[in-house]
Amino acid sequence: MNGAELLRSLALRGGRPMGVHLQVADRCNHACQHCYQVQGEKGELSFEQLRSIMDGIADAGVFTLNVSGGEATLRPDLLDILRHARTRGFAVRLFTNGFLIDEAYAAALAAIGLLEVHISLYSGVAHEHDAVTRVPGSFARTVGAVRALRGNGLRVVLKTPATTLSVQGARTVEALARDLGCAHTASTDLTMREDGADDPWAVRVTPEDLLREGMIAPWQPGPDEALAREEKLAKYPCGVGRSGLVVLPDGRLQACTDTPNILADLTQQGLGEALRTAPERELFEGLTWSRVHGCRDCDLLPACQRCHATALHEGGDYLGPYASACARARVRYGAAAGSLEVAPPSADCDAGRDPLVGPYAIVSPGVIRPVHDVRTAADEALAARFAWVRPARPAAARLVTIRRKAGGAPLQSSAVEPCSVPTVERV
Amino acid sequence: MNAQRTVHHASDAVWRRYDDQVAVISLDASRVRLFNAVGSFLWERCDNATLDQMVAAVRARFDVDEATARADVEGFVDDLVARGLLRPAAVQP
Ligand code: SF4
Ligand code: SF4
Repeated sequence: MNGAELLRSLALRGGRPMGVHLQVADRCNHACQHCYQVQGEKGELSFEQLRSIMDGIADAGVFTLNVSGGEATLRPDLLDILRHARTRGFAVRLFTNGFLIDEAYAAALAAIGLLEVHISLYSGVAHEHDAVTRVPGSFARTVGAVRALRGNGLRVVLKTPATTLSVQGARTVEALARDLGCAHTASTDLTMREDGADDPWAVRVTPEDLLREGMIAPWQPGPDEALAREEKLAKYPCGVGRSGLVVLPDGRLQACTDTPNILADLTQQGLGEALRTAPERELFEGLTWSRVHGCRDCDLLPACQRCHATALHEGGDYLGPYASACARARVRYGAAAGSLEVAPPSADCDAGRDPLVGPYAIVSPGVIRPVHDVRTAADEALAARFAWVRPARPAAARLVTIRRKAGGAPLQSSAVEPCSVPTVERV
Repeated sequence: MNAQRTVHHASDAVWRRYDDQVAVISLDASRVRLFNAVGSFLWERCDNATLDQMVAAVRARFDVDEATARADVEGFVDDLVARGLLRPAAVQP
């Protein structure tokens, strides 16, 4: 167990999240097409309101605070916000595009003391990065910020989500990160925009291209597949509602960046009380793969990676199979098997179901068949209790929690916090 | 360390208590240190405290003789000072 896992497990054992993501700005100076955010309509809190929310988060025993936007550095009082966060004992990460960070700003951040600064960089090639941000010159400014931050002794994590505008971005940024002395993480998922629009998917990289770029790997059943399945069923696909809580710029609390369900309004109550009283906590605390109908019976489960929010956006069911996850799992299996054939669905499959979506049975090497998606009484009870999990209206309309104008920050949605705290020492 | 000299938590030490254990990370070193029950008790009492005060606190809470408590507290403080998690207070002129 590494340090991040240890801290997460200690926190969860005590019924509290290890970290909270605090969005302090409802605006951005970049215009990335893949961004999930819509800005300019939520509104922003005053410093006093944010201070009170941070106090509530600290009182709830949260260890790490990720401060982001929109673009957080657009707030003139950001340094005061970060200072207060440090005063309250948080390990603070700043998520930024770095565009406004010069030498003096980097020195001020270093004086405050941050755990890490996370910066999105889409390519090691200037014009490719600028094509994603749609801001000419942004690459030079962002790399300048990274140099200033590193020069002031701050740890920097460069993050590269894959988009069709910079398919090889992860590779080029990885090399640059080495030169700059930064850590690097690449991600392969883009989520729908928070107003339900699917603009980000216009630049979504296909699973075939992800495979070609080495961002996903071939998969085939191993010798002890039963054990691998059992272990996976006990795991959480992500940290939604447990380690990845998000405070929106107006103070509302969400289970993660993309799950469109408001748990509480932190301008009205502290985080501790919100967590004690939100009924959804029970849902998120039990949200292992075993709770996902269809997937738990699918032979491709060990090859699969899911985002519940994308499942809701794409397939209308937060806890069910969905097309893009199935497509990726099929590509991984097909690559290992040498070829892939999807046989006609078994006779007991629902008539209205997409014939390519799982769950699947592997009927022979390289041949899979969609099989019946078994929903238990417990699945139905859960969906009845939390209606947003499987809403009755059409997908695009039912997901609108916030309507915004286009534009947004280059922040990846991830509730599983990257943490470069690797070592554990027991004393 | 001089028994009258105070130490305090380093400004870049971040910590939280989880039940009976305290976890501390240093923003510089990027390591998690997890204290046992006695270490956790001491960590929460060593900010702006002297060695004598810490020894007294340990003896008031745990069944331990003076010499053992002093040796343990000294070892704990020396180790954390060496690791940069505790800092000796500046000596008054
Ligand atoms: S049904 Fe689709 S989403 Fe679910 S585990 Fe199988 S391949 Fe993955
Ligand atoms: S993968 Fe991330 S965005 Fe998707 S549901 Fe989990 S925490 Fe939310």
